[in-house]
Amino acid sequence: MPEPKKTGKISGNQEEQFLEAFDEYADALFRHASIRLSDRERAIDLVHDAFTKVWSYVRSGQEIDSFRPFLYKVLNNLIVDEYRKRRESSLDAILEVEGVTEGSFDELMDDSTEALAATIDGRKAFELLETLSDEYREVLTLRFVDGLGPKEIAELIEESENVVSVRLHRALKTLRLAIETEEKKREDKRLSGGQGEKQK
Amino acid sequence: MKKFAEQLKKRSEKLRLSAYERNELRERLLSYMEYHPLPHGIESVSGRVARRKKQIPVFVNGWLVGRFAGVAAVLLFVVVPVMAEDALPGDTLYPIKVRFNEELRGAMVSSPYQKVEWETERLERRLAEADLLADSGRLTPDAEAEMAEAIKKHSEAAREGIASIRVTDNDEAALAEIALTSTLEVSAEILTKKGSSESATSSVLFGAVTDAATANLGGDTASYQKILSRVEAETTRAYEYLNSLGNVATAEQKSDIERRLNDVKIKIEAAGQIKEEDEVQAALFLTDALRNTQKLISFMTKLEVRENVTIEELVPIVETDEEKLEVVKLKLTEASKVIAAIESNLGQLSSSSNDYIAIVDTVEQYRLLETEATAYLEADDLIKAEMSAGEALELTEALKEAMIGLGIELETGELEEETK
Repeated sequence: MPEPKKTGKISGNQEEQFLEAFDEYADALFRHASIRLSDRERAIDLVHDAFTKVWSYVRSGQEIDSFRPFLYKVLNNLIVDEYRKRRESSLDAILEVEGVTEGSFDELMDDSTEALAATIDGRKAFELLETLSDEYREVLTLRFVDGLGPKEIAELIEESENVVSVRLHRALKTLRLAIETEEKKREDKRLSGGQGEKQK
Repeated sequence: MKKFAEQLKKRSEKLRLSAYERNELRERLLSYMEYHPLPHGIESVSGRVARRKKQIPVFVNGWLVGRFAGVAAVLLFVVVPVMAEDALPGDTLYPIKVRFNEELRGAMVSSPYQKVEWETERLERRLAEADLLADSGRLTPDAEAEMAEAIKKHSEAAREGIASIRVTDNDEAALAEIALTSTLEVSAEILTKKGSSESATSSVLFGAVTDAATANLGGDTASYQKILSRVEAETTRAYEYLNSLGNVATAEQKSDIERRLNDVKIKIEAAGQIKEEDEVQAALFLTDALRNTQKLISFMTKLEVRENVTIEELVPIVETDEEKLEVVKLKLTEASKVIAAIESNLGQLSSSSNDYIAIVDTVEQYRLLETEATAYLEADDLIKAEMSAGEALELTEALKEAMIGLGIELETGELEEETK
């Protein structure tokens, strides 16, 4: 994540660049925030806040080479703050994520993560994203919705690449489990519904 | 993996800002940029102003290039005016902004109504410039005097416009005047606030704005129907703004705004009720409602206003009948508590002393006021009840002071608390 450079001057067209960045990234940032927060209105607000914060950097005379990573960084911080404010995450979700520092060899292998992803239906996964803890949602959204590489994600959320890989792996596992549970539920319902009809 | 990522991405791409949301967000951001411009001297003050005012250069372009042609002309009449748009008093390009750009735009305005709007905007521009100067410590007394003079000039020009509208359409003139006064009152409120908090802008500007706000043209008010339709349009606009505020305002601010919009609604209803008997009074009620709505709109749409003035200062709450009733009752209870305390301590004075007689006399007066207030309450005459209760309370306060003056402490610590 490139830090903004303090140059003491603002290049001639910072305003234009800033607005171009809005036109280019507003939708992607909104999508990201919306998935993370499951709240459309709030997502719009946070995107707005992210842009105003970045504008403040511009105003303070710092030159931003590339808006995209910077915007993501600010937005991500805002989302994390939002979660902190909510603090409603269940104890389970916190416990689930804690202790993710090392990870097994399997989890660290990118290939195995790919193999795992291959077994999951992306459309169903999208519907179930909001059932995951934000730590998982964060990495999954950054990786698969925003298309960032593990290295970029690591820089953005200030964790090591290992942690990101492990977290992605576990997130996918949890997601697959959630999909399976969902499918099982649906199947059970269908069966019990079918039996009900038979009994009639 | 590829399939998973593709599916997930494809599905998530359905999640996007609607055109409306996107535009609104962009507008919000532009407003923010406008009120938090890039530091002066480093670059142009505001992208939005420059961008918006590109209408002028486009016009200038067509008008002049045909005549003079050539790069020099383009430079002189297009580039310079655009750059000048962001100039502040004291800058080389400032005279071009005021005497060329603005005059030109003023000349393009066709209807007198637009002229009034434009002069009002120029007035607001001068105030914003004064503010920017003050922020950067460049607001010298001379600059301030110049700004005050300009404000006077623009408000006079606006009023001239109103006068010329009045020749053909009294209603439109009255409405334009209401809008102008609302704007000026909001600006005056901001200046009062700033004047008391910092020495940013001095009383010179404040004087110019309040003079402009109170200058009365003495025209008739608009007709009931005309104001009603304007007030309805403006309240609709206000509710739209309220709904789109998002997190620009806190929940508390939003409920404050809603409360006041509700006050406006009550006022409109009241106007409707008295219209048959007294149409002039009804029109005045509506004028008041319109002015408050316009102030609420500027509170919602202008960061400058929100940051400097509280909503209560701008549009004070109108108490409902229930709330007024509560206040009257509270006053009466407080007064009767004080009187009870006075009577129980009266024994400390000799019953033949002048003080004793005077106090007993005043207590008698209090009783009359109290009976009066209660009678008005029963007759549902809140305004008179409020007056009598207020007087009764004042009287008891004076009595309390007198007792203390006589060295008699009203030994009711509790009472002290309550009467406060």
